[in-house]
Amino acid sequence: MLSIGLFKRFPARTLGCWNRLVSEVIFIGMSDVTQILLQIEQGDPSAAEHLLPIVYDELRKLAAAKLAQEQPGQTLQATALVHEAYVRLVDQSSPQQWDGRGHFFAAAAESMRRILVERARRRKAEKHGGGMARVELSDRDLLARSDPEQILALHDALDVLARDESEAAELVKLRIFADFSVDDAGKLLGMSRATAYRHWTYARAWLKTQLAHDSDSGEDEKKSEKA
Amino acid sequence: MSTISENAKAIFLEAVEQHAPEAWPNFLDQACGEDRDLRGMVEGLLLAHAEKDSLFDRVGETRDYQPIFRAGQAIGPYQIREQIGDGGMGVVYVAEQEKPLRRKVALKVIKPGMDSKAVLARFDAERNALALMNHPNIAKVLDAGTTEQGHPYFVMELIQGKLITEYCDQKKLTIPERLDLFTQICNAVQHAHSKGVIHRDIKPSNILVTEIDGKPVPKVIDFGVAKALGANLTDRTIYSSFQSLVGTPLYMSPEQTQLSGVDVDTSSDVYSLGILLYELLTGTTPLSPEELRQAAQDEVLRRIRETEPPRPSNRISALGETSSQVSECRGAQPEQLGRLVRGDLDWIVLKALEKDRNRRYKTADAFAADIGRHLTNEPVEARPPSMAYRLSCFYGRNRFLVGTLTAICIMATISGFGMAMAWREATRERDRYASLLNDTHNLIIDKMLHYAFLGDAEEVDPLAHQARELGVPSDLCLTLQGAARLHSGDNEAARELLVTALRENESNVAAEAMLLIAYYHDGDTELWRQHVTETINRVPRSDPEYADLDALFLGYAKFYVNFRESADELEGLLEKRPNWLVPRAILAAAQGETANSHGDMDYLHKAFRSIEGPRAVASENRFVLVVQLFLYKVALRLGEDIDHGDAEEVVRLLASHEDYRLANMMRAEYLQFTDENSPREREAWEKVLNDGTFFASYAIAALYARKDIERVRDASVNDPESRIARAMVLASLPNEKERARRVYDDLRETESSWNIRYQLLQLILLLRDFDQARSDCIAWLAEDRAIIRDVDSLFRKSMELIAGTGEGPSLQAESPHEQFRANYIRALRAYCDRDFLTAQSYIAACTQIRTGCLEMFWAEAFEQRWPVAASGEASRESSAGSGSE
Repeated sequence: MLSIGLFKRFPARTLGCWNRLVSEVIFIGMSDVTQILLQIEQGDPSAAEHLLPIVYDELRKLAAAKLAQEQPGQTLQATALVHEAYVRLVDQSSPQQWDGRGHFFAAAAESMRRILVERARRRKAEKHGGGMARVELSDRDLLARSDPEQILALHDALDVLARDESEAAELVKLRIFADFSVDDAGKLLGMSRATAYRHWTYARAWLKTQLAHDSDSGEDEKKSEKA
Repeated sequence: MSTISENAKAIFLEAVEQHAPEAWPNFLDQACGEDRDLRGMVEGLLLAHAEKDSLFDRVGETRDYQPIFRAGQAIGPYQIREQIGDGGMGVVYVAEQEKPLRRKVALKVIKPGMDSKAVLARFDAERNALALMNHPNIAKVLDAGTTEQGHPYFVMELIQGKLITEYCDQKKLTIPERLDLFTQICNAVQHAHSKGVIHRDIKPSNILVTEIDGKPVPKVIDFGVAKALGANLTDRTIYSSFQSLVGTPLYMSPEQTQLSGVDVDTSSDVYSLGILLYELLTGTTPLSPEELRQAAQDEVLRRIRETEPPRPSNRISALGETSSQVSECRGAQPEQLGRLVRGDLDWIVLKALEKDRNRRYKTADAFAADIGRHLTNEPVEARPPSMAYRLSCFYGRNRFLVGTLTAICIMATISGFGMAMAWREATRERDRYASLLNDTHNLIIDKMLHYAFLGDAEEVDPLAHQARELGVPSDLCLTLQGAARLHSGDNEAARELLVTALRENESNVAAEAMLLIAYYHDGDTELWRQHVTETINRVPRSDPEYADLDALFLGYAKFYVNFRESADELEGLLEKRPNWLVPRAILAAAQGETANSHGDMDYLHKAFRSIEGPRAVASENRFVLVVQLFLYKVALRLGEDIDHGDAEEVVRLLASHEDYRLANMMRAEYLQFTDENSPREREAWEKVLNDGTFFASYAIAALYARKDIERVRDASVNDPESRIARAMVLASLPNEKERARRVYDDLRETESSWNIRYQLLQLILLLRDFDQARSDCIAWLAEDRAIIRDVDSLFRKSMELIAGTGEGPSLQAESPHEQFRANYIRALRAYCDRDFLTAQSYIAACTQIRTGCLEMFWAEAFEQRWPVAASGEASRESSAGSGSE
């Protein structure tokens, strides 16, 4: 179950205007992502609200299914997962512009971010509790590469970044959580290459200083605990 | 700190986009003024920008923005037509020039992060020299300037061609054809040098091949560019996350890696040409791109400065899977290619790659001339010095060996020999060694043997070359070359060489014995079984040149059959040949194993003495270290006190041989004694588990004993031993019995060795299918397979017990091994019958014996796990209300 609380933190610029009141309620079938994308393109911002839960559910299911089938140690790549969700959810026969895909992949990146953060939280809990499920995304996956603390710190820092630099934050999500290249992420968000790289250069450096800052203060806390 | 400062952002972006890292401090002085906080923030961002980071960066991705120009756009007086390349330094376009003449040119826009003014100033300084160059194999740089955004660009003659490496491979050019192209490149570089221009960045991507009248013509591009981009490449790499800006350090000369910026001269180009030739011959650079990716930058630069490159021919023989492809691209068979390159070309390349630039070819012309001599079969300049000189080098170095020998004897004294005895021994050995020095053959053979046991093929191969010239039989050389490869872990090459040796001389007992060992190392148990009896019963040839070598390798091969016989034979032989120091490691291993299986302390003490020699001359050799650690482990098992400091030192030294699986196993076993149940021990076992050899079966049992069921349950293992081991764990889990059973059914069809069947027997007993166990034992015994090792007979007795045709191993046997197996099989039989009390008492007896075999690990695990299993079953049964007995 996806809690409504999650939406509160969803940055305003992501898929149109989240903070606007929902003026009409449309019934949307589970597979009707194409319709939502069309509505967004036609300028209906409220449609976007329905996109995230569908994409999120689908990605969770896909990730769980992949992990169940595959031998431990095999790779599960965010890009592959996100593209599979796209193929499954979006009607391929209707022509899609980069713009429509942009909305979809932004939702997918946000979903991946949440899935990864949930896993990081769980893993962190397991570390203390002894650990039961050994299901892990591996190799190119973020969680295998970085420790859960780092993912959670990145998650928080991204929220801060999104306050002042929402475009940069969107780009980072696509780049890191959905594994798009900077070029492609920029295209999806309708930016020029130069802009995309400027955002990336700055966001990357800024997030790194934040993460370094976090881990420093974490160590300080530990030291003070000992004392 | 977390508030985002617009100001800091703007200054940061300007620094990154418009200023070279060297210029950052000055720029910040001016941009931040007295504002310390602002400056701190920007510096933090710049620092973060410059560092690589696994969370944010992907391998091979360029981080920086690279402007892309579209067709029709203008850069200076040039019109962009199309993009033709995206290299490390920048993007290359075809562009059109209108004035002074209408022509197409190549235009390269350099990535941001450069101080454009300085670049242009450096380029202008060299303009005149560049203009003087005129050579058919040089593509001239015509012009340079800056784009509107301030990025420098270079304009050069347009060459429509392929990279030299790609061209050669696609056209499958043979080695002589490649050498011909390479010679032309040398001539071009020489021409530039004569005009005072040094290239500084010679690498395949700067050498294009075009065809003129169907003939390949190489063109060197980018002369003058590297210099203009910066006098010191290293500064740039620190900033540029390696491969992005200057391209790659793979082709850099040692002096170019110096931070101090020693003046780079023409010999740096000679060095880079050497690397290029290396790659044209072998398909790879001495430091491979994979190694480059894995190593830290400092480490890479250090290696360029310090590590001697492997000989091209050795590199070819070490290519492994890609070797057939590399050879095919050179129109040769894999084994042929090595032969073509071995000798002259090895020496030529290594001369160009000398770390000391004064020892390289003086000029690119001299380099080309030597290749010309090779092509016309004249003696090359790069040939190693004369035989007499080489031999005198031996004597020089062997004086050291003689000294070491004395030192070892002194050490032996300390550890228990009588002082006087040792001195007399030492003197006598020194005399004997001195007399050996006169015998050139023995000397060179001994030396080859030394390196062969150290697994150093790079030393053995040139010695073998000389030995052949001195009249040492070729098959003998091949045997030692094969042994070197076996000891370095290259089993395939080893087997090939040994088979060739036997083909050349079928009575070569040493080669035959070595081949048998290779089968064993390779896990090729079927071949091993077929040959073992015949081979180990051979006798050494009577010819004195061969007799001791044959005996050595026979004794070595017996190691895998009977430790005590192997130990005794080797001991006798090595007393006769005190200068064979490294083979004593095998003797030590055999003595240690004998001590281990018979609990015989005499053998243990002998083993510790035997390993001293190898430790003294090859203190960092991985095999020697492994044997030493093994001895410490056996000593601990037998309750002896050990030198813990040295043992830890050995563990530390072995840590640098991460891929040496035997070492990983030994470390885990050792830690079991010193650090049982520590995270360190657990980690060591994890490593063994991941190594993917049959050692994983030990790790599975060990982790199982530590209740780490989740870790082993789905461990990815492939060899039969480890698959059975995992199934033995699964057999104890309520819902996994079927998976375990499948392993049994699979492997009983395919595996026929005593060892594996004995393990299968354990599995089926754990699965509690006694009828299956009995009928399979009866069938296996009926096959009447030969008993080769002592332990095989214990396996057979165990099967007889289950089949009901024999008494089984004796509980009263003298040998601890038989005692152990006697208790073990009875424990499993009782477990199969659900007679937990009996099972546990037999297992308790097993764990008292501590033999070090795989089953000991299981016994320890069962001792922990069975009481749990028993209570679990009891509670299940009572809750089900069934009153079964």
